Amino acid sequence: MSAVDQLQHDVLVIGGGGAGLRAAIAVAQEHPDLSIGIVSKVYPMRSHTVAAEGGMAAVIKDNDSAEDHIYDTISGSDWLADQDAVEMFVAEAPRELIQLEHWGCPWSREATGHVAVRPFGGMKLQRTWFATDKTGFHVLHSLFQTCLQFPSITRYDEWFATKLLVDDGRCQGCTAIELRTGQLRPIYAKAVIIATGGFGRIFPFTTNGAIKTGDGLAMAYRAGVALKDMEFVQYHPTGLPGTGILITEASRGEGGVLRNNKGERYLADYDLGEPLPLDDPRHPQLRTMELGPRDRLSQAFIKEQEKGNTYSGTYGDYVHLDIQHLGEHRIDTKLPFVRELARNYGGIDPVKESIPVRPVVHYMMGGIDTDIEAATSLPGLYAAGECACVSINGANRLGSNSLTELVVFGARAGRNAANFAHTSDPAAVDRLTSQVDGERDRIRRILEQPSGGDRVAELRREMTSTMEEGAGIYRTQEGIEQTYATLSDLRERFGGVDLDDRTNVYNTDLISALELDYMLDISLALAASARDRTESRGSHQRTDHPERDDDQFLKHSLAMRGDDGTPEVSFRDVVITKWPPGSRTYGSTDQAKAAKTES
Amino acid sequence: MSTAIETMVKFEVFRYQPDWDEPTYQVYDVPYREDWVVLDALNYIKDTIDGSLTYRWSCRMGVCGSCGAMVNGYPKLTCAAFLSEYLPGPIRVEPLVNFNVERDLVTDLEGFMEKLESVQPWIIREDGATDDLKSEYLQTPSQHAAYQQFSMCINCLLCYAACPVSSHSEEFIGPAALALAQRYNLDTRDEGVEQRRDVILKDEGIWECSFVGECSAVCPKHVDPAGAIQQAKMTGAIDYYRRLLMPWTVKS
Amino acid sequence: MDGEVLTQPTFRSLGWTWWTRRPSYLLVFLRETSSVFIAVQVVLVLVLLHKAGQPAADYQAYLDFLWNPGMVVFHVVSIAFALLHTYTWFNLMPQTVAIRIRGRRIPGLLLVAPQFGGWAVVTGLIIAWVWWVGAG
Ligand SMILES: Cc1cc2nc3c(=O)[nH]c(=O)nc-3n(C[C@H](O)[C@H](O)[C@H](O)COP(=O)(O)OP(=O)(O)OC[C@H]3O[C@@H](n4cnc5c(N)ncnc54)[C@H](O)[C@@H]3O)c2cc1C
Ligand code: SF4
Ligand code: FES
Repeated sequence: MSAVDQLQHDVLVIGGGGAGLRAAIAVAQEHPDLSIGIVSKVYPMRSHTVAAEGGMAAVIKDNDSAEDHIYDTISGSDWLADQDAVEMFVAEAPRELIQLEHWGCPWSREATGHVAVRPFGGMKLQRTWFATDKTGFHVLHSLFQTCLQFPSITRYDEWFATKLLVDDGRCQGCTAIELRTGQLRPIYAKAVIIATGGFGRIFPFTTNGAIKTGDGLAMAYRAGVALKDMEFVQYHPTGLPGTGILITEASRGEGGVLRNNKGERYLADYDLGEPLPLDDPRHPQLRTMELGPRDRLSQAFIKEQEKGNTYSGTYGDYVHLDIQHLGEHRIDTKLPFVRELARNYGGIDPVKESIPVRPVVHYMMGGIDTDIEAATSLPGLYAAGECACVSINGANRLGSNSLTELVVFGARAGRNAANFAHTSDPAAVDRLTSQVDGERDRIRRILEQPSGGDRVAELRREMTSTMEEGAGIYRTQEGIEQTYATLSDLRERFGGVDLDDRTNVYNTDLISALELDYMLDISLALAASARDRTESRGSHQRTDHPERDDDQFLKHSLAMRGDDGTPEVSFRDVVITKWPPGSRTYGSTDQAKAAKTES
Repeated sequence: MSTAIETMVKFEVFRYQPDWDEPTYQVYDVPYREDWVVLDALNYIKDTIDGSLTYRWSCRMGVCGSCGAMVNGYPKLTCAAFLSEYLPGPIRVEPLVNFNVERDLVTDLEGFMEKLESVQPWIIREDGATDDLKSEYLQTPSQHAAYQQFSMCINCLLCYAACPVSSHSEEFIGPAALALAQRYNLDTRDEGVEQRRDVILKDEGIWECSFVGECSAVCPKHVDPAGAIQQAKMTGAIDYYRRLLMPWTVKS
Repeated sequence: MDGEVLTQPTFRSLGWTWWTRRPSYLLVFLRETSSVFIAVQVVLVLVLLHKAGQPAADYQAYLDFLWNPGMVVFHVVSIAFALLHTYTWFNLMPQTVAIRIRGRRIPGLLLVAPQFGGWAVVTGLIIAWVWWVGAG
């Protein structure tokens, strides 16, 4: 390939979701002289940020304070969040949300013209900004449309990144397949930002779209960067059975309640406070009952299931989410998408019936190990968004903190990568050619593998089902080890994977195989981390180790890829600034306050 | 649930590869499930029968806009088209018309991306550079309501596949992009009406639309692009006469 | 993976027979075609007005021409088209005009009904006038 059509940028962003777009705009605005590339395997506005419904947290109202948001986030994380990161996150959040507002995000408004806020699970005050119940959709389209105005941004839409290029201890670009032609090409850069989103697709039942396969994590992992806190998988308590489509937490924020098959508001039995009658003006109470954190609500479902208090249906057991008492008008103005989804995919109208729901894999707290500056241990490589783990989410993310994380850390990653690029030499193209050739060979081998092996879909099915069995809401040593063994076996079998499609143009069969390859790596890292954390904290519940163990495990797990491809797990202390670990109390704001003043 | 004999539905799927002279239709038998959408059937085919079938999808909840296709001749989101509506079959699935087809159901979106960019779909402000981000721009709920509907577009492009004008004029900016232009023009935070004027009013802009209205009929998000274009025409016409008859009322 | 790149998109359009593809297209096609008939009708009326100022024989010849069977059929078709055009056009009004009162868009019926009402009144007045002229 001649030097003319060599693809080269100052900063390369892999991922065109909320985090990637925010990062790219940060570079473009602050350093108009830098050239930026955005590689995305789907057109950016298809990224899964589009599916986020409920809202985005930031302190804006007079009755709220940064202290409160910090405390909610830290206690929600079961004290596994790094407190310096949370403090910074909460401090920068309002400015970032106002920035989105100035870029046209159609936030829902109060009569005065100020942005409106709504209550959300685990938050003591109303601080979640929303654009009806299509917040992520509006945020993503606002960011995408805003990014169109910057001439310094070049997009590589429908290019699939496969590998990071590293030389001299510095990340200098990636290789990517242009789907339209099937060509693998290097894209060189002085600094790289990974913003490839989460990886819910390693589980069979998830709110995550097809593209959430954790490619970016695997690329960083293979380049020698650690994956942090991988064992923490968030189950959202209210997914539609069958499809896994999410019914947003905002439905509970607006006053919706959960009932078991006896019609009881069963959360009252799980230390989440006392239920108030639905006509009580104080309902719904913050940090109480239905507005408890997601890990606790999903765990309560399993307990109810064990007691036989759930309904059973074609797609497994479920409970009822009831929003009928909100009335048609409120549902149509605040939760129109919930009504649309329940009607289309659940076959029921929530104005007249309860919505069947069950816990569903939703969000990954773990990810690429970064520091508070969004930098990884590999110079020149940054990560932001759901693929990264700073960590502000610890053992359980609070709803509506994630979208905020995208813009706060996306912007940071952008600024820092830009500064790094400013002072760095261009990529050492000559020295990287052999890596590019090696990657081309790897992919060609998969493409040209003789037939006879397993199909991609079959291996994927086995992987997701073993993840659900061993690494679900409740885990045991034995179960996890079994899952780990199954995954290792699948890893072997992947070597002989048999493709139906051996052509070049839009070979989605090949892309699925590459995604599966990445998912197997990160599933193994997840299983190893879950095996080694012998305590229960937040979303990681070990029935054989039911207690939280701060002496041993007030630590982040770090999975590194060993030479033979197997993960090696070590631990690193959590950063504590002002909030020593306390017990996570939910039930009433007073209790929470008491817990806070005690600590 | 499992009946002795499964009901099967026939699918006739459009297949095309760049080195073929002609597209063909391939027939697949897919088991019928009451709660399945066409996308589920395509995934079933890809996972169990033919991994080479090529189409786009991601969210499978009608919000990412990837999965548009012609289902029995009508533009649909395949993730929102229930098999039950097409019984007993056969169900014919083809790529969206009025676009180039790259392969199977995958169409070329580059033309649309250029049109989208051409209408400058972003907030334009005179104070843009000096913005201090101290507080939000105020906007009342009714000001918000004025453009809200036009901000719901997921860029699925079903409207282009329904539009006879788009079919005959590659240059026509088309329903979705024009609706987005109108979305920004109606936003009280925006000051870019003048900047967008030329693109919207040029030959390939709103005046090429002959108000067939089918774009609004097929839009899965009730954006009503036809309405947006008509409203823009109305504003454009009033503006024209105002410039002609009362030039002193127009800011230069 | 590398080497020569083969992409060869194929184009599919609705084609020139697009208006036969579905009833809604056909209706639009007819609505648009109706303007041709209406335009011709306008020309005929203008000529009529012009002839009215000419010698009586000319005027009578033109009237005879208008009464020939072809012309009568044309007028019947035209009136049908005019009705179709008016009807569809009035119904499209709510999409064209977005009037908001206290943040809510006023219902389409409120825009459509007055037009049909006005149409009825004007038609009534014309019929009455023709009647009056005819009787007088
Ligand atoms: C249904 C749902 C509802 C949610 N609701 C909320 C909510 O109300 N509030 C909240 O705070 N959070 C919510 N979340 C979580 C939040 O939406 C996500 O964490 C967040 O959107 C992730 O954004 P991202 O930018 O990191 O990644 P994504 O938006 O997933 O984008 C990833 C990008 O990376 C690209 N990419 C991936 N792999 C590759 C590759 N190999 N090559 C090239 N490109 C690649 C993709 O094309 C895409 O552009 C919700 C999540 C879901 C699933
Ligand atoms: S206007 Fe409607 S049909 Fe057209 S692209 Fe947007 S959402 Fe799709
Ligand atoms: S798959 Fe996203 S809209 Fe259909």
